[in-house]
This record gives sequence, C-alpha cells and structure tokens, in this order.
Amino acid sequence: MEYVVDTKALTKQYGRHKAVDRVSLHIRRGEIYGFIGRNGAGKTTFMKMISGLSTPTSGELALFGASGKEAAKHHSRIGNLIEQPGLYEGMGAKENLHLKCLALGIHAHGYEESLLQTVGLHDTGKKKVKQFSLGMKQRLGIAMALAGRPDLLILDEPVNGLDPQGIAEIRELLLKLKTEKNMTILISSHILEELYKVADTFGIIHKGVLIQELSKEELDQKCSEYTEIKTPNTEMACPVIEQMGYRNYRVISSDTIHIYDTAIEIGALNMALAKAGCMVESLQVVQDKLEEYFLHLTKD
Amino acid sequence: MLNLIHMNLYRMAKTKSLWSCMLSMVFFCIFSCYMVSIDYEMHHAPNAQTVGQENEQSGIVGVYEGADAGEPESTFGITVQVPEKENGEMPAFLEFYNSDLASGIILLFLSIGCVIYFNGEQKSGFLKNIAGQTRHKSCIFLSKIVANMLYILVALLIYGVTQFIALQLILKGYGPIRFGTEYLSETFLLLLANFVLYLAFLGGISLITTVTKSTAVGITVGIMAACGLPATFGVYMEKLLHVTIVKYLVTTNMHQLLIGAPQKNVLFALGTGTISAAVYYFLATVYFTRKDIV
Repeated sequence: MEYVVDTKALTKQYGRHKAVDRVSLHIRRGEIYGFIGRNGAGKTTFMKMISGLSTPTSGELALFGASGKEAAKHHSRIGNLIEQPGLYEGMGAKENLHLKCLALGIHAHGYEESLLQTVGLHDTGKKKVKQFSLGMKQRLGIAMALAGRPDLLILDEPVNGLDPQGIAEIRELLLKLKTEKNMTILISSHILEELYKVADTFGIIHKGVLIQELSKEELDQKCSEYTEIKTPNTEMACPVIEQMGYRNYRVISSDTIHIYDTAIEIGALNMALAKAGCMVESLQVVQDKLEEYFLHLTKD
Repeated sequence: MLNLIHMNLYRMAKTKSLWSCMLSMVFFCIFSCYMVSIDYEMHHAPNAQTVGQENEQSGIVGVYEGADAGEPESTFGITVQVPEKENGEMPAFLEFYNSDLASGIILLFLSIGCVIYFNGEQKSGFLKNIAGQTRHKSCIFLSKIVANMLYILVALLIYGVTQFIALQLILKGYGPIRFGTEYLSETFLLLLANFVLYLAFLGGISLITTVTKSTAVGITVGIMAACGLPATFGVYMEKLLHVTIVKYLVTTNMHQLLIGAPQKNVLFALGTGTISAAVYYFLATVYFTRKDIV
C-alpha cells in the first residue's frame, strides 16, 4: 500500500504539554482524509508538521514514500491552507496569487486567472482582500494552496465562513480534484456531516492522541442503529421493553428511550406499549451519524 | 532563491507603507535643506564667526574635523553636521549629501520601512503559504537581504536627488550649489561604507523583528538605535566598566563618514559594517530556520 503520508509516533511538545502525542496516521494516494477533533485537539499542529511549517519533537514522518531527511524534499509537493488564509490585505486576489506563483517560479500565462476561476473568484478585479468577505478570503486561501499543482492538499477548516452554496461548491471542487487530478487531500472541518460527504478515511484525534482511524465503510458499520421511542411515560415504558426481552436500552431524557438491541419488532412493541397505557408519540429506527460517533468517542 | 528575490521585489513595489516611508524621508530632506538655509543666514549675519575662524582658534581644519568626530558619540538624537568651509565658501552638494548620510537620518526612515516589510509577511500569515514549499527555509530570510539592499540603494538615490534639487532651490540666494566632482571618488568609498553600515543596521533590526514578531518593538528599537541610544549606553559602559564598545557600533562609525574623513576610519567603518551585517543576518537566518511558522 502506497501512503502519501505515513507517520509513526509523531509527537510535538511545547514545554510539558504534548500538542500531538505519538500519532501514527496513514493517508493513501488519491484519497480524501477527514481529520476530526475538537478545538485544541492537535489537528492544526499535526497539519503544520506535515506541511513542513513546524518541526516534530519526536517520531517519524514519511512523505510520498520517503522518510527522514528525504521526506523534507517532498514538502514542495504539499499545498496548504492552515488556520486563516495568509493574505496581504492591501493587495487584490490576483496580486496575492501572483506573489505565491513568483515564489514557486511559476510564470505560465493565465495560470493565476485559471486558479481564480477554479475557486470562483475570477470576477473580483482590483478589489482589495481587505474588502473580501470571509468566504472569499477562504476561497482565495484554497486557490493559494492549489498554486503549484500540489500532489497533497492540506486544508484546515476550509469551509469556515462559507454559505451553504459555497460549501457545496468547495465540496464539488474537492471531489473534482480527487477524481480528475488524483490529488490526495487531508481536510479538517467542524461540519462533520460535510466531511462525511467527501472523505474516504477518517482520523479522530482527541487531546493530541489519534484515537481511531477508519474507512468510511468501517465508520458506517460502527455507527450503531437503534430504535428511538418518544413517550411522556418513560417509567411505564421501561418494564414493557424488558418484558419483551430487550435488555440493551437507555433512557436518554424524560421523554426519549433508545433501544440498542437489533431485530426489534416495531409493531409488537408499539402494541405492547399501548396496552400498558403508554402514549407513544413516535417510534422509529435511527442510525448514528458521524457526529454522534465522534461525540461518543471523544466523551471525557 | 531567485524566485524568492523576485517575489520580494514585486512585494516591495506593491507595499505602500514603504513608499510612505520614502515620502516622509523626502519631506524631511526638504526640511533639512530649509534648516541649512537658516544656518547660513545666521552665519552670514554681522558678528557671526565662521567655522574656519573657530577651527583656526582651536587648531583644527576642514569639514571632518569640524564634526568633532574624534570624541565618542554620547548625545541622544540625530544631528546633521552642516558643512562649512574655512573661507566661508558655500560647500558642494556632495559635502551636504555625505553630511546628511552620516547623521543617520536616512537610517531612521529605513528602519521603519524595514520593520514594516519584514513583519508584514509574518503578520499577514503569507509566510505559511511559502515556507512549507520552499526547500530551504533560510532562503526566505536571505532573499530579504537583497530586498534590504535595494531599499537602501533606492533611499540613497531618492535622498540624493531630492537634496540636490532642494538645495538648488532653497539656497539659490547664496549662489549656485556646485556638485563637487572633486569629491566623487571619496563619495563612492563613503557611500560604500554607509551602504554596508546601513545594511548591518537593518540586519540588527530584522533580527529583533524576527525574534519579537512585533512591529512596535522593531520600530521603537530602530528609532532609538538610529538616534544613538546604544552609543549613549556605550559611553556609560566605557566609563563604568572600562569596556570599549562605542567605536564598534554601527551608528558611531556612520557618524565618522564625512568628506575629509581619514581613510583608516572609513575602512574601519567598512570592516565593522561587514562583520556586523554578517553576524546579524547569520543569527537571524539561524533563528528563522529553526522556529516554527505560526
């Protein structure tokens, strides 16, 4: 298996605090890797180490199959948008992009325009970045990251500040980059449902530790299915549920019960509850999504 | 490296604050020329004593000696030594020019511009866009030395042109101002020494700005240093601890660089500037390479 990023016990320590603690993460070529974690979990620090902006305290980092000092040579193949987009406010979109292109030695005619077209900023003209909305700055940040046609794109919260249409456009763009250009993408986002729509593999980091790394298929399997009963009489409902042989259940709130047993006979359960004089407001099978799974894993 | 230099030059051309610093310097140059005219009015007033007469009494001659360059600089602030001829003749433009360069006034504006330019990349976060993809991070810093060099050259040129025109206009009542071609070769050496000293000074300011990441600290230190604060401390250190540092300071050496200065002083200034620049830029490059980009 060829990994674009392969880390072994990668650690970043600031004083006594370990921002990233022995993270061993694997990103396959051509996949979109969703990086999930709370604020301060260590996502940005990890991304900075991969991008070459920060030096690991210990551990191994292999990029594009090369490790040690050889790995550093491949940092030029990584485009990044980490935290806020780094832009000169007094300059326009094209000028900012031109600066990055100059630094990378790209002089191709019309290249900057094509990048702006890709992120939908081709019509900004001479408008200064300081007059841009947050979403426009974010798009320009992505365009900057795309400059130089990187093989690995690292995007830290790229849809921050974007409206739903903008989020959808960025999602389309990422999928297009993956399918058409075989670009590998490491992306973190607070909008987990959005991440779920694009990522092939997920890494969940909590307090600097990578607690789980799983594929989308594995995640779907892990996201448990349960039956949710909405009733104002939870005390009356519990004995009925037990009488029917379902032991794996939990009273979530004063009017909600979750039964985690599989093969629930919904009709029979509904009848039994009604016979016991329990008013059932709703009875349905629900599947946990990424957010529930994430919250469950990172519960302190 | 060439790509980064290219990027820096493009950014310099587009950075308005740098041009604002240059414009302020131009205004200050005109103001300085106006003050010269006031000085000459006073000197030509009845009962006025010329520098020549003063020097005759004190046994020293020429513009350089008139600057009391032999004594360590201990005053805080910037003083432009107005050149005076022993025979009361109007000095040439190059004498005025070199006198202003030695005062450190250009350094004041250069240091402000340098801090704004150096910290701009860090503060805007633009550094994150290029630092990872640049093979050697040191190149990002080293490419700015070229930017500093160009900035100094442009400043020296703009100051010279402005001063030449301003002197012609403001002092036209005292007759035409000669260019001073006889000082041309001497001026080249003085300019080279000044250039190296300025580069060293900006290297020191760049180092402070890179470490503190603060525009306010960088500008404050730059202004204080250009005004001679290190020399003031140096004099106290010399008197209290008997440690001689004043003569190795960039500003002290710069104040010596007047027309007529002994060549050994100019060469010493050139050496001090070269060593200081090498040390400052080396330290800043090492620090920049090892620190994380935040």
